[in-house]
Amino acid sequence: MINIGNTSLYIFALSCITGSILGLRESKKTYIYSAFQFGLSTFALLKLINIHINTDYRFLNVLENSHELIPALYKITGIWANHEGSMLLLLWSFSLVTFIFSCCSKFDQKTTIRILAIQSLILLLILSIILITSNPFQASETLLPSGRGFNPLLQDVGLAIHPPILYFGYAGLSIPFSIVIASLTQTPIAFNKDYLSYSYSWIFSPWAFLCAGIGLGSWWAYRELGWGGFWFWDPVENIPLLVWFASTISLHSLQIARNTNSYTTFVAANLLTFILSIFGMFLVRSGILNSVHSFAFAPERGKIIFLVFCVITIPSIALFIKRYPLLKKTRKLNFRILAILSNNILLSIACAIILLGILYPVFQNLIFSKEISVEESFYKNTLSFISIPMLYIAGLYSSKTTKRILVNLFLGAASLLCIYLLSYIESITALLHIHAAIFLVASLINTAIPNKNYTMLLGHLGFAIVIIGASLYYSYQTNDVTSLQEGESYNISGTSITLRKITYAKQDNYLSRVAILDVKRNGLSIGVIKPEIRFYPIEKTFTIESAVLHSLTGDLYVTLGELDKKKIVVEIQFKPFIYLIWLGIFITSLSFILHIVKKHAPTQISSKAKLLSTRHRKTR
Amino acid sequence: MNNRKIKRALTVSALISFVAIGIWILATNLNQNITFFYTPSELQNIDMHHNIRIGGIVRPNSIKKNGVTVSFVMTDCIKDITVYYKGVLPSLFREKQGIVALGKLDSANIFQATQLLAKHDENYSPKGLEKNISEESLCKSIKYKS
Repeated sequence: MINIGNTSLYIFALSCITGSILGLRESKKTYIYSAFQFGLSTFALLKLINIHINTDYRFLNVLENSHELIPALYKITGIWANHEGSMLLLLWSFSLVTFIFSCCSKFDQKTTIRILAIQSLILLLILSIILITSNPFQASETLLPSGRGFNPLLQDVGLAIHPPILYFGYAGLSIPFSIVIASLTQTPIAFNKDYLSYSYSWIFSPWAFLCAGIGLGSWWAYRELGWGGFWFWDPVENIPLLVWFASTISLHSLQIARNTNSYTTFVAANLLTFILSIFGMFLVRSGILNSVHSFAFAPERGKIIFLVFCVITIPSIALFIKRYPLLKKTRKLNFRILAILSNNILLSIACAIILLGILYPVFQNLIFSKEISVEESFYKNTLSFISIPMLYIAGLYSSKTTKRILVNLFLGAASLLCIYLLSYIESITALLHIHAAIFLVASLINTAIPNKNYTMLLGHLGFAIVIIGASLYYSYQTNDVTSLQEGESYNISGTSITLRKITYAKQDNYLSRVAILDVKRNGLSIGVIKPEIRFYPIEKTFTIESAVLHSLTGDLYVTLGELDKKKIVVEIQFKPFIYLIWLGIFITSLSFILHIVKKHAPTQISSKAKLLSTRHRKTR
Repeated sequence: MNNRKIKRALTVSALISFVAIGIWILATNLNQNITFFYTPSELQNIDMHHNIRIGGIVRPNSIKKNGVTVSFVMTDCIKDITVYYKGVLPSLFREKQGIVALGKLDSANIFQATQLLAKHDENYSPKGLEKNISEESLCKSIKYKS
């Protein structure tokens, strides 16, 4: 059997090598090579989709992860639910991003070619991981009549779109990295204002994709895992969050560079973001993390990814140290720059905290061979020391005058009092978070709207909404477990839930038990919810399918348990204002679309910011 | 000593104390919010006020349900421990399944679990259902699975 998929990957490797050599020689052919690489990786991905749709059991990847009875959509999305397939998707995203960059780069030709050469090298490194330890086109040695099936938890729309979006984010982060490396390797160092405005979109877009990807992952976990939370603080979940924080730092450091002409933080932040994303890939895929949803433990895979991590990190850090004295540094700081700078520092501390939480169990395990896990409360307690001052500082940044600051603080306090009077909140941190977030929103409305800077408005507004949503969620959530018989009902705070009937259904790939529950509030019917328990015969597994009743005050989240002597266990959770979290993430990601449409260059923002701050000083 | 030196000394000492407070907050939080993992045979001299995690295999024929509370025996083939849990069981919960329970050990040597996790990885074959696998070989895999 001639393995076309494999062949295309090998040609890909060759094209990466020649592409990077041509790039270093500053040949214009590099452009063609990036198109060629994109074509090859698309071909390989399509080939993988093809063998999965045809459930070709001659390939180990299909045999291990698929089955002929799975619906066609999940046969395709199943490709990125396993390690090998997801690596190919990652490779494809990298080559897609490189191709898009080669088409719409505004940098001068010399720099663009240099950036494409570096991208070729990165592609080659990722490809080497695939070819050495995780080839999706590996032939199977044994022939089994049917495949092992596909984890039913992952047969979901949320999982269909979450990895591709997240991977576009990860892949996109390589562009600012390459931009920085390409500028550092030129003599004299090629940094100027034009560079910054050209880089802006390339930093903004992966940031927005990461944000959307994290949101989708969290939404999937909320609906599909039947546990009802939106963030588990599991190490594997924390890694994208960590990278997103780092990406936020580089986005803001661009504003600093723009205004002060000092490029050190900008360069360091961009290098760090990409390095962290590769380090995250190593942690997740080597299996050394103790996680609920990990990939299988694979030391040899870990070794090669670690090697790739070193190959990327060591030269780039060395280059940064060598070129550090040549980077322009100025010390002119005004109030607004200081505000961004201090929030960047706070964000770096947040990164350090998350990294500590991720690595501490690994460290304990390696040194003392003790198995520990870091609890949710660690992150909540420590990160609130960061997020509260961060929100206030962001609010201060947007406030024009001292009077405005006072008015906004008062607005925050007043709305907090309203919330407090409507319903009691015990936690002081929750109260402070809500106050700070409302203060930020009020300040944003004061400055961003007159300035017509809607990109910044949406980005920060979304963040404030997430904070408000999460604080309300943690303050008011309830959880009740009961067992019900047909016709029996259960009451929680004015809402009654009655079990009408238990029924059974059969689909192609699963059997299910469905409970039909009537929900009434003050005697009026407000809806019917149908939670399920599914049994997937191919995979021999059960899944709990939650049912959710949305309302303006929050979600009623119901899951089923065991059926025992005609009584069924029902878990009823109330998730207040949880939709604010998805809404906030959506708004934050939306700022990107606005950026693309409006083409807001950072120039406008900073010149206005400068103007404002000088005017501010005069009025004082 | 001129003014600048005093200013610099103040900045440095403020910075140091700030960092020290930060590290202190981190360290105490980390100390309070980690849970240790044990297998049933390691459960001796355990602090009963702290949450811990225990991991093992659900012993066949030991699951007893009473309304919303469940009790079962968790084993690592050396020692057994009875676990009580109130709530909806994870979908992968069954006999011979590797389970991790979060909770506290009470004075009657019964583990009061607040959370149960059934472990799974990408290679999807719940090992508990392959009948020919012995309990002993499952127990060997606890340490790696957890």
